[in-house]
Amino acid sequence: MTEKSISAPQFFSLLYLSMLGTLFMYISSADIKIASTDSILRPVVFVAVNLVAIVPSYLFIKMQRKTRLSYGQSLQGNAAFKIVAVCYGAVYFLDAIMTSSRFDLFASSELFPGTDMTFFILGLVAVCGALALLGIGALARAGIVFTVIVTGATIFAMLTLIEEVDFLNFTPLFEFGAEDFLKDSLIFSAHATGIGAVVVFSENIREKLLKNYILWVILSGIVFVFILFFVVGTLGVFADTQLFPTYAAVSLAKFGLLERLDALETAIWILCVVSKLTLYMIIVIKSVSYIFPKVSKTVISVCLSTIIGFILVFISGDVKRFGFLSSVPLNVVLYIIPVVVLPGILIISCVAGRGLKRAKNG
Amino acid sequence: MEKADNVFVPLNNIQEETFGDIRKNAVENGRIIKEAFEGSFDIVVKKGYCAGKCVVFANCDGLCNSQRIADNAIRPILTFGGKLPEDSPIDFICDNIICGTEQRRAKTLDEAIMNMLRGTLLIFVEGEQTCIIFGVQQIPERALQEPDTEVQEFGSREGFTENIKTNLTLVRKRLCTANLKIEPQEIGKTSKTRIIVCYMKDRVNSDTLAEVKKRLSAVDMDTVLGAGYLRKALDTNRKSLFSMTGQTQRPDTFAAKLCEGKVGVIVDGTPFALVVPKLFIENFQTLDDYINRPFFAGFMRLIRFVAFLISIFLPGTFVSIGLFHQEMLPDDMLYNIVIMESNTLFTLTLEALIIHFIYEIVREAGLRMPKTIGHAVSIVGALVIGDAAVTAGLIGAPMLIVVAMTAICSLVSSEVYQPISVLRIVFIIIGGFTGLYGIMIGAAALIISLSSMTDYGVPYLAPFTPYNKSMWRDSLFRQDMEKMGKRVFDINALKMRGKND
Repeated sequence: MTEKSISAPQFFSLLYLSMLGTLFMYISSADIKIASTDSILRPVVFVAVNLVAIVPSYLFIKMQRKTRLSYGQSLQGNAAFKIVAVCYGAVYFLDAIMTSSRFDLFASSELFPGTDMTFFILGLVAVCGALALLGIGALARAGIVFTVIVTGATIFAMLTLIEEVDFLNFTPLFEFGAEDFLKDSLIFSAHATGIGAVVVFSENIREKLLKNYILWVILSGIVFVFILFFVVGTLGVFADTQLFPTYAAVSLAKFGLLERLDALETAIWILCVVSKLTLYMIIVIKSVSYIFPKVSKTVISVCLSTIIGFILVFISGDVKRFGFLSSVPLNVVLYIIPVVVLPGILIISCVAGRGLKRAKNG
Repeated sequence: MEKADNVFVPLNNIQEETFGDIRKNAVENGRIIKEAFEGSFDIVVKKGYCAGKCVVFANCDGLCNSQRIADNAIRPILTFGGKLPEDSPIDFICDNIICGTEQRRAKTLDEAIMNMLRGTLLIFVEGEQTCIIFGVQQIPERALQEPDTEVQEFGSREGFTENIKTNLTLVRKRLCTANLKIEPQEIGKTSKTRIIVCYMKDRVNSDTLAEVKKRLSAVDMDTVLGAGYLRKALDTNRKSLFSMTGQTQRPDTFAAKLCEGKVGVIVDGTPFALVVPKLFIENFQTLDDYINRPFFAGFMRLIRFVAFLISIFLPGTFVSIGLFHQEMLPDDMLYNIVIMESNTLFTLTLEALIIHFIYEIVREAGLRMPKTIGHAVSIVGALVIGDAAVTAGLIGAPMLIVVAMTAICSLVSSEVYQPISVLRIVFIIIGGFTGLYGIMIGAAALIISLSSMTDYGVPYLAPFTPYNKSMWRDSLFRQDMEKMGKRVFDINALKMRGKND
């Protein structure tokens, strides 16, 4: 155990939080429809898809551990690997912008309606940029604490909705056909872009990776089923008329003296946004550091926060630009590249590199 | 106008006078000491003869026991009727004439003078180039008292004093084992403060011990007048509000920490000892917890932790709910708060800041003022803040309750008072501008920064994160003593090795 090595549960808690953050800021109009019983079953496909999706990353990590060559070392030695680092950086840079722009929309439409929240979001980006400098070790250790708080608060909030659940809201299964269900489920699964980070941090993660990954995917699926059950059960068809259906469902929660728990819940769910944004910024900083090893991480972090800030100001309030960033095709591409394509390239490069070495040695 | 000189002089510029080796002429040695301390009436130099040989005594009056000097050293030497051997009279004096267990030799006058200033008697013998350092110290010190910063309900009433020897004795009394090792050091160019590094040989981690020693020897200060001077040197996370260097006034707590594999540092002249490394959870643990029954100990630890959270977050949360999230409160409660707050002059944020500022002033005054007028300040403070400010419409009654609650909670865990007092102001400002969402972002930043803290390879937030199952038996909750007593807690099990990434 080293200061920056993290346990597999710590790492997967970050992926869990980032996925939960996505679910919380799920936009019906931009993403797939949510108001049907089918959506409760989508996490099942999510589990299946992501169990398969880890294969390329896992094969590369296995190969890497055999050669005892870390991801970072392999990047420094070969120009082709540096291109991979650029791609990882670019993908998670876009992901960071997507996350912050979604949160910007969420804040200005739900948290403080009618208020320009740009400065609030810029502050959030700056804080995450500073936290990214503390490294993956600090974030991952905090991730466990966040997971306990967020999961506890979410389960509590959902349970307070029990009285609001109307079983008439549950439509027949596969109402719009199995094909649509499958397509929507695949799109839902594609929100787990964080899986690509497994390769980036493979050298930091100790303990059994695959076992913990499987556990994480299954547990996440169960929590998502739980949340979606209450969202669909409480809102019914109204879920698709709400900009943020999960938030709309939580707004109905009340407990004892506390009339509306949405502010409290949202505040707690902000932990997901902070950890997701910080994680993605750490990946970008790490990737840029591989390409420019002499530039200090503080400089990279400041530049990254500034660029994200500028782009956010550019996107904020513009529906077209936001629509492009939140579009399903872009989301799917941002999932496939780090999860399938980049690990695939790394495997091919490793195999080719080994072949060349063998040929040289005669 | 002439430009003022810099009032801070680099430490290297301070050159200490040196006196060289001890002269063979005993009177000469006495003269040098007299000249060095010219005008200091407490430095006593006396000449006499022992079997015809000149002997000079030097001591610092007030730091030694005059009776012991007379009975055990001066009288036996001056009344010695025999003959001193030619080859080594100083050894003969040591072995046969003076009576006392603490006898050492010094070769240089600097070493001799330093020992004299610590209460020993110097004996110079004509023709000898060494002198006898004879232990007759009687340094004034206060009696053992109950520590006023760490009061225990059922624990021992003994606390450390300002005397390093007494403090060491108090620790030895509790740890009767040869495994308790002590390593004396001197720190401070001018003060030459004595410190003792203590550890249990069989439990300490060698890397931690080496690191502590390295950091202490790297201390380059002119004066070290308290344990606090060394705290920064022992702490890795110097920019953090929280410290991973523990401080205790209790010998029993100190002994318990040493048994956990930690390294302790006792500093002369201060009743506080330092212990490294320290965990976050330790801020909420007391010695009483091990005397109380487990369920109550766990309950009290939980109460302390909740009090810590309240003292940081309550004022900020109240401000943010009052300004941004009124819908969270029931109508009746909201109505009452609005009525009371509508009569005040300031916004909730400003109100909270003002009243906390006043509270900190009253607290500081209460801490520094002579105890005889303490009641007067308390009454004025209570009247001004409690009644007059509300009546005058400066502060609302709900805010007053919040601040009173916060103030009480912040005193529950005194070791974290400093970060608490700063953080709550920060969270009031954040809450006043961004509501609960800003507070949560701040809280996330706080948790991440706390989890980034590691000192001597031990993570600050252990056993919460990284999770350590075995340590849960004595963290926020405590296991039964019967089970706990079978195994010894070892801080080094939490250690993270290296910094290879």
